[in-house]
Amino acid sequence: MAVVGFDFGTTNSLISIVQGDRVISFNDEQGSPIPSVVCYEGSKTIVGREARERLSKAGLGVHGNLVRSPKTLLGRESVFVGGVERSPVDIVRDVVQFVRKFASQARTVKDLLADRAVVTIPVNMEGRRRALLRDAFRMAGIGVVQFVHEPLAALYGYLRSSEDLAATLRRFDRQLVLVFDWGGGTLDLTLCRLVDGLLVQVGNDGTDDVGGDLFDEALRNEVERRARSARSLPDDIEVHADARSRLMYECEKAKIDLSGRSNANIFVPTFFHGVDDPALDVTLSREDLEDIVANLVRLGIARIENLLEREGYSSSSVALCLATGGMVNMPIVKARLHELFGPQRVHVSERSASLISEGAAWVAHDDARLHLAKNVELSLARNSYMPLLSAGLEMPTEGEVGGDSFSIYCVDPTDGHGKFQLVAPHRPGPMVMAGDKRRVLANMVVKVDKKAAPFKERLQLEVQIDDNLVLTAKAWSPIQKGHAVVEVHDLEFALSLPSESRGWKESTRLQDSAETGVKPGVGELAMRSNLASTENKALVPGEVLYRFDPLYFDKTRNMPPQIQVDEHLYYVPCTYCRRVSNDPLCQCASSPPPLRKPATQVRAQQ
Amino acid sequence: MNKDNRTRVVDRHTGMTRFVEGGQNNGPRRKVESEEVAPQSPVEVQPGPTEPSADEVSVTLSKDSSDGQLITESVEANEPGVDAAQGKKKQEIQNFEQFIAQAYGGKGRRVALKGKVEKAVAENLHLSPEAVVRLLQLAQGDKLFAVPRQLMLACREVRGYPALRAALRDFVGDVMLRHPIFKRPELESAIRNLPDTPSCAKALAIVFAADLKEPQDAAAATLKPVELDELRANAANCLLVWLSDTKQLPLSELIEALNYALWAPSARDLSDEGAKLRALTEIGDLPGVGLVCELYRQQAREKSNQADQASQEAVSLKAQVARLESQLSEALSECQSAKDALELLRTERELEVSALRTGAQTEAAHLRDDIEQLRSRLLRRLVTDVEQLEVGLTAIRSPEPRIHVMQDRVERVVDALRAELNKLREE
Repeated sequence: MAVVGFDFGTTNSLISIVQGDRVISFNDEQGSPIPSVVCYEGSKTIVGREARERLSKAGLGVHGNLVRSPKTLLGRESVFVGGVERSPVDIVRDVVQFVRKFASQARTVKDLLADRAVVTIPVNMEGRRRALLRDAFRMAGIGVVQFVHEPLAALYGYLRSSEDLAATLRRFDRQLVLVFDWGGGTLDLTLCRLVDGLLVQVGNDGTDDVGGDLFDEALRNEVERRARSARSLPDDIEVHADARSRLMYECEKAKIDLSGRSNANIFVPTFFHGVDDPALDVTLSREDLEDIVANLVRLGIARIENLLEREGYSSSSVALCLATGGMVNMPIVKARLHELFGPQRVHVSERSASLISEGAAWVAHDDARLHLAKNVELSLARNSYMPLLSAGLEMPTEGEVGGDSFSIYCVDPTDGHGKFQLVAPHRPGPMVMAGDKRRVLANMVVKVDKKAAPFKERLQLEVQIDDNLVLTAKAWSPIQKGHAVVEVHDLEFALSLPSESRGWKESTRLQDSAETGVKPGVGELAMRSNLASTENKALVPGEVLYRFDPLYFDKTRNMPPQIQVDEHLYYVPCTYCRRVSNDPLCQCASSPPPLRKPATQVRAQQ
Repeated sequence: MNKDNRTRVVDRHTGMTRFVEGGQNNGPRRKVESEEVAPQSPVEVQPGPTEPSADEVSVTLSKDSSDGQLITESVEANEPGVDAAQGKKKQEIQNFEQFIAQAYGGKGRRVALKGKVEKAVAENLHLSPEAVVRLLQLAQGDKLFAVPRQLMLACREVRGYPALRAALRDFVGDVMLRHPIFKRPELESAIRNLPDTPSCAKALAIVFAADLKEPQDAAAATLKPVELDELRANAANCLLVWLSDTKQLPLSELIEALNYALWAPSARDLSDEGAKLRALTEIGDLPGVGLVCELYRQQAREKSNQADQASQEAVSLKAQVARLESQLSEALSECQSAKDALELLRTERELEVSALRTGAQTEAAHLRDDIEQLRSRLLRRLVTDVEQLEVGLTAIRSPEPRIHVMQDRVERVVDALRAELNKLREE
C-alpha cells in the first residue's frame, strides 16, 4: 500500500507519488496544482480552479460563500460561509476529499488508493491545529503517516531529485541551506543544516503578511487607480460585479508575463459601470510592477536577514538558497536573492509549484523519519541541564506516542514550589556544552513541601511526544499533590536522508561561530531552577543548606564551594554593625581600612 | 482267535505276523444269533466268526494297494481247502439282495465284490418290494449299525459298474435315513447333500453325540452303554464314508473330522496317566492309527516345511520391504527436494514476474505521466493563448478599437509559443 505525499498548501494542494525512480504529481488538466479554495453554492460544493475563479479579492479566509485556504481557519470552533455556520475541519475535509478523488481518478497511475499520506505543514502550525488537520484528513479517508515541515519537504525533494544524490549530499554536508518558500499566501523560511545524513532545522520564520496574493491585490489596486486617474474617473464610479475578479486575473497574468517581457497590457472590456467606455486599459512596464511591489519584496527579503541575524549567521554562511513558490519567478525577487547570496548559491526551482508535494512523496517513499533536531532539556540548579529527550530521537508516526519519565529532587523547597524549565539549545545535535545558549520551551511550577529538607521530596516529570509532534510535559509532586501540564508545539526537527551514515555520530560537535552571536529571545523568562537529578549538596543554595546542615560550612571539616559560602553569608547580617549584606552603610568588612575615627565620634554619628 | 481272545494276523506280502485283540476293529465279537441274521430268504449268509477251536486260526492279511483295506479271512490251519466244521459256508451270490444279505450276515465284517460275483450282482440289481422289505428288516436287525459302512466301502471298490455303485449307495442312504441316529434335520440334509449342510466334522459330531433317548430310539434303548458307543462310532464312520464319497473329501479332511468328532471328545475323559496309558495300549486297529499318525506327521512335516518356507519367505520379504522402504524414503526425499527446488523456482519466477509486472506498470505510469504533462502543457498554452487572443479581439471589436491591446496580446502569445517551441526542441 503506497504512501503518497500531500502538500496541503495555503494557496494550492497537490498529491504526488513516487513510481520507480520518478515522482508523479496529480496536477489539474492545465498542469497546475489544485487551488485550496472551496465555494459553497447551496448544496453544491465546488473546490479547486472553478472555485478560485470566483474569487474577487485576495486574502486568506472566508469571502462570502468562498473559503480560501481553509487550513488557516483550523483552530476556530466554526466559521460562517455564505451565512451558514460550518466547521473549519469539514471545510478542510472537502478540499482534501476533492484532491484525493481527483488523484485517484487520474489516468496516470491505476488503482491509486491514496489512503495514507505524508502531509506537509507550515513551520508555524501549532500542535492543536495539526491534530485538527489530522482529523480532517481522517474524515476524508486519508491516514496521516507523518507530518513534515514544508521547507524540509522542499529541500528533501530538491536533494532527492538530483542526479547524483551521494555527490549532492557530500557537497552540502555540514553546510547551511536556506529554504525560501514564497507562495501565494505565505512566506516560509527555514534554515537547515545537513549533518550526518540528517536535514536539521536550525531556525524557522514565516509570515502571511507578504503572500503573493497581496502582490496581486496591490497590483490590481494600482492598476485600477491608474485607470481612473488616466480617465479622470471619480472614485464613486462603480465597477461591474465580477470586474475586480477579472482584473485580478489579468493582473496575475501580467505579473507572470512581465517576468519575461518588459511591459504588459491589462485590459478588462467591461470594468466600469455607468460610463461610455467601460473598458479598463492600462499598460504596465516591469519597472512599474517593481515599483508597486517593491515594499512587499523588501519586507519579504528582510525576513531572510532577520532570520539569519537571529540565528547568528550571515548570508555568506549559507551554501544554498533554495527558492520555491510562485513569487520567486519575479525578476525583482530573483535579483534580491542574487544580491544577498550570489547567483551561484541561489537555486530557483523550475518545479516550484510541485516541489513540496514531490518532496513529501519522496519522504513517503524512503520512509524518512523525523527526528528531534535539538535536545529537550530540563534546567537544573546551578545552571546545569539534564537532557530529557536527546537530539536524534525518532518522532512517533501515526498512532504512536513516545516519551520518558524522570524523578527529580527539589534542592530548595523553601518557597513551596518546584520550578521546571524546559529548554532547547540553539545548537542542534546531542553534543551540547553546558555554556551553550538555550531557548526556553516552557515553564512549570509544582507545589512542594516548603518545610522539607533539600533532596527530601522527589518530584516526577513525564515528557511525551505524540504523532502530532506536540511535546507534553507533566510534573507532579506525590506528597503535596501538586500538578502541572504544559505543551510545546514548536519543536525543531531533522529529516533523515537515505545515506549510509544516519543519525548523529558520537564524536560530532559542530564547530560553529554562531553561538557567540546568538541573542536571547525577547520576553524570555529566566527562572532559577531548584531541581536536581542527583543528591549533591553543592547544588543547594547556601542559605538553605545552612538551616539543615550548619556543619557543612565548618571549614575544618569541609571545603564548601565559595558560591555557597557567599550565598550563606549574604543572608547573615554583619557581625559588627548587624546591617544586612550590601548595605551601603556597612563599612565593616568590604571597605578598605579607613582612618580610624575615635569611638566617641562613631557613636555620635550613629 | 486263540484262547486269549487274540487273533494272529499275517501280512501276505511281508509275512509279518502280529496279534490283534478281538479280531475285528469294529468292536469285540458277539455271538451271532440266528435271528439277528434274520435269514428269511433262501440266501445263505456266510457264517460269522467261527468259534474258537483248538487249532490256532491264522488270519491272512492282505493289503489292498488302493485303499489299504484289510481283508480278513479265517483259514483252516490244518486242512486247507476243507470248510471248517463250525459253519463256514460259502454261498454263491447271484444278485444284489443276496449280496446285501450276506453283508448283514457278516455283522460288520469286510465285504468285497470281486470277479464273477461282482458281475452277477451288477446284472441283477433289481429288488422286488418284498426284497426291499427283507433287506430293511435285516438293516433293522443291525443294532450296532456295523454293516452300512462296509457296504459303502465295498461300493467304493466297485469299478466299471456304475449302476451297482448307485444301487449300493441308494440302499445305504435309505438305511441311514431310516435309522434313528440320523433323524436330525442337519444330518438328513448332509446325507441328501442339500445346501446349507453342516460340515463333515460337525455332522460326525452330531452323530457321535447323539443322545439316543428319544422315543423313536426304541431299539437303542435295549443296548448297553458300550454298545451305544459302538453304535455311535459305527454310525459316525458310516456317515464319514458316505460324505467322503458324496463330496469327494480328501483324506486329511476326513481325519480332521474324525479327530474333531470322535477321537478328541473320546479322549477328553481320560483324566489320568493310567487311563491314558490304557487307552494307548488298547488301540485296536493299529494300521489306522499308524495311518493317521503318519498322515499327521506328514502334515506336520509339511506344515513345518511350509512354516520354514514361510519363515524364509518372511525374512526375504522383510528384507525386500526394508529395501523398498529405503528406496521409498530415498524417493520421497528426492521428491521432497524436487518439490523444494520447484517451490524455490516458482517463488523466484513469481518474484521475477512481479518485478517485471511492477516495472512494466511503472514504465507505463511514467509514459502516461509524460503524455499528461505534454497534454496539460499544450492545454494550458492553448487556453491561455486563446484567452489572450479573445481579449485582443474584444479590444479591436469594441466601439473604440484598441489595436495596441491586440498587439500586446499577440506579442504575448507569440512569445509564449516561441518559448514553448524552444522548450520542446531542447527536451
